[in-house]
Amino acid sequence: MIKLNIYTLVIVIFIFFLSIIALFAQEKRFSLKGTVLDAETGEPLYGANVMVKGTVLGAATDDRGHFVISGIPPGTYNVEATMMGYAKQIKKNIIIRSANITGMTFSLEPTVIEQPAVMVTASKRKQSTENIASSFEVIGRRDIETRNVQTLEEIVQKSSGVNVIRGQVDFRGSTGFSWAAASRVMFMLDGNPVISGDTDGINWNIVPVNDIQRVEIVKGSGSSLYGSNAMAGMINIITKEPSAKPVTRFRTYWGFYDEPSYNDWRWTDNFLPVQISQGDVDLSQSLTYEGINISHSRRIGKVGILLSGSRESSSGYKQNDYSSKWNFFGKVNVKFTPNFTLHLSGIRAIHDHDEFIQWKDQSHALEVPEEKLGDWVRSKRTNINGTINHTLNKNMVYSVRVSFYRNYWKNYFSDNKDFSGSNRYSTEGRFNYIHKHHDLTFGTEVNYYNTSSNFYGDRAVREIAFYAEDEAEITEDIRVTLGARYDYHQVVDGSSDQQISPRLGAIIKPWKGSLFRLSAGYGFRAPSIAELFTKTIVSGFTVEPNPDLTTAEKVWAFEIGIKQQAALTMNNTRSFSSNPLRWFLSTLDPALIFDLSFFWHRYENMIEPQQSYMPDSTVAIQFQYLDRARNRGIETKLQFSTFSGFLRSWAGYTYIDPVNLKTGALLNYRSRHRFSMGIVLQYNWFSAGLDYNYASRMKNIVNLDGSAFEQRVPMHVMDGRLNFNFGAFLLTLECKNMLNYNYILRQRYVEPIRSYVVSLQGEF
Amino acid sequence: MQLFFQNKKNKTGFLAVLTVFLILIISGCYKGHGLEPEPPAGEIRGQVEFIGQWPDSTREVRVAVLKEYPVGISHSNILELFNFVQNNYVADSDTIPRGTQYYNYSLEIPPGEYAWILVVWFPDISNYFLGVKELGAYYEDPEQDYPSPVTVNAGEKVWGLDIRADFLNVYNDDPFFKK
Repeated sequence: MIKLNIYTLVIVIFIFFLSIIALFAQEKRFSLKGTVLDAETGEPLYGANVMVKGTVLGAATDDRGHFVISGIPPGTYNVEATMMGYAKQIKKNIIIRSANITGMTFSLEPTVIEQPAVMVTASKRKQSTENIASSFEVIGRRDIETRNVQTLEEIVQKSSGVNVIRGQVDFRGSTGFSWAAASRVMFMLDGNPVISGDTDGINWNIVPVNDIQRVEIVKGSGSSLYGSNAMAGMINIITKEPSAKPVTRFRTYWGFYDEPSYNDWRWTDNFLPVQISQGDVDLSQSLTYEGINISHSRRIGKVGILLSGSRESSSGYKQNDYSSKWNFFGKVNVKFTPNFTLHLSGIRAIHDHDEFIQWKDQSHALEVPEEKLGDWVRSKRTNINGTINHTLNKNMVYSVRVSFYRNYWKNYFSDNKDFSGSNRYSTEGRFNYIHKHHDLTFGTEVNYYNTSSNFYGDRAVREIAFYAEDEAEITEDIRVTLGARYDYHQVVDGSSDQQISPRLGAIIKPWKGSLFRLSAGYGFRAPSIAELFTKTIVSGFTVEPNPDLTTAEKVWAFEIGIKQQAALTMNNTRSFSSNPLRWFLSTLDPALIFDLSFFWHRYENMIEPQQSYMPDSTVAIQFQYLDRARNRGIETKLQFSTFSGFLRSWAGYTYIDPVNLKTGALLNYRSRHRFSMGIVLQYNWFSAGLDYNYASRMKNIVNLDGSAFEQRVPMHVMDGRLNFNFGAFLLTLECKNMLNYNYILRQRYVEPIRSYVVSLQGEF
Repeated sequence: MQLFFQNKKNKTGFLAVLTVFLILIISGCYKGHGLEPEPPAGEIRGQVEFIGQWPDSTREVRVAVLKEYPVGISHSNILELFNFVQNNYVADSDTIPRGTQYYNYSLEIPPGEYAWILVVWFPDISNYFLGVKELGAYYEDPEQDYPSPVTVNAGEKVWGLDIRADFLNVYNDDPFFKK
């Protein structure tokens, strides 16, 4: 068995990088300075990307719309400016000979359908979204602000084909519900993995919503670049950058819960509408949720700073549902030279919350059994990240990142005082090399995580990986990506495993506005410490360890897709009487983007929680291999804009067929059909939005005490909101779950009932 | 903060779409409320007739309802069999008093179709799952090879589901599937 010393590996990696850096001699270089503006308003655009094509050189604009690209050797270049929601602009044949260029101005035309221009998650580098062979979504800042979400979970859940059950995320039926003991989706913060070392679980409260710039979601196996946990895809939270001038931002919200649909479920008179009807309003006792976030950002010389603090609390809508969160986030960017930057960030989050594991009974669905009253959990999370980016020359950039994530939690239950503290250390060195028609990314990653817990014991895991991926431009309209990653995973004093995850992707653009994509890849996930070693009893349910999970679960994933953009341009609007059809079409002014994917996933040794008969004649939940499983399906999404952008809407439908090939049964906690749609109407400073999410009834769930045969219904959730924009301030009124529709996503736990929330955000 | 809304002047379109938008909201409000506080249970009733003497080794006897009948599962694989039972368990009765010859049972169960209503015997040993036996099951026609499935609708009372429970089945090698 290979013995890995983590410290030796880290030193070797750094020496390797320093050696490569030393190979590159310096040459005469110049800089390019300019501004990116909105072509309609003339306002500077913040966060636009400006790239020198065919090189790794580029920059993002600051809040004055300025950019500076340094280190450009003499030559003739094409320079491209892109930004989400705007059509890209290329300035061709820019000659740089003997002097710096200043005053280059890009004026970007807004598009009626907002499309991301670049993303970093699909290939670990800035990549044009036109060249991504996987399905992806980018949720931008505008969506996050106007949708008035309180949690990161809400943001992600509104994407097509994505479901979140009690914090556990599912892409296209890849994951059901496993009591948050594992994740098949890699979760990252600015490219740094932030999943727990013990459960591989995602902690959605790690960063305040107000500090998020955008959320990138990539569906399909990502193990060829990200290794274990990325077998179904990745979520990357990109936080805001420190601004060039001093800016203070705030966001505050206050909401209250409506009374439940049924009197039997009205477990208290402290629902605000009930208090009002009884003429006895006491807001200190009402069932409400509220929060405030304040952040300040500025640049001092070469150092950019962002500091943020949040306080959120909720009485909850159920009995024993109180929640209190404190969150502090800081980010420091140091630009030693235009081509050498250091990024540091840190998070401290404390979350106390009551625990509602299952209802008393269906007639008292918002109450816990009496003996569970007062059960609560404390969790404390710390995350520290550091990244160096160094552009060596026009063809090569490297980055080195180190990250630390600690997750500690403890149950304060009447019958359970379980606790777990896990640390995850991760370091990665990565190169991006562009040469002629090839864009090569390669690097190495070392992870070490340890856990100390009363019910896992003291456990540790070591991982080392090497990866490389090349994107080749075959012709202007055809690109092929080929890559692979080697992973070695070892449970200290336990089993070890190694995997090679290849991936092939291709993009074809047969005609203007069309894009065909194809991807085939292998993915895997090593069993989490929780799946291997959990031994506990919670709410009367026994969980038993399964050290026989010695090898990873694996998947072969295939996808083909097509994307088509179309718009009808009618330059001259005639009167209705002269040409009714032309009048109608010019009034309609439609534009659309249509995306269709077919996917097929074949799993081997898929790990799922099963209720099992133990040798000592007890019945327990245990994580076990399903021999073989298969998931196939279709996903389609339509984005539509009409009436000159007054109406923007989108609709997505996902069909999945996830089957245990041994038994023929549908996998647990999966809905075959999911449909979601959104409509936004906007008129000057006012807009109205509506989101609707549907999921068909889950056919199978784990049968705990007959719960599998209790009433289950499909999900119908509709949220509606009104936004009022007053320049630097945005006021939002929202009704969540407008239909007050009651449903469960796992047994005996009613999802949030109707609530009303008002929020105000702004900056000065 | 960037300015979110662009100034477009198209009142006709705006009003048309606003109308559609309001219709959508209003029509949405007529939907049902999903889960209900009183689960719409059904009820099954019947009489168990015990044949033979209650063995001294009896720990307890109950009537149980399972969703499916274990077709295709090996009788000898006790682990697989009990995993099947756990995944299909719907409800069971109280312990039937020892020595009873006729027992009237009544069980509230969710609406649905249930393939296996049976009388289960548990031995008085520490690892009692290992010796569990089926004494009998509900057969509409005693000549049928498999127990009769029963469909229960919301609020429906399905009566007359009588079961013959023979203690001779305690001595079978196979735990289940004996009439």
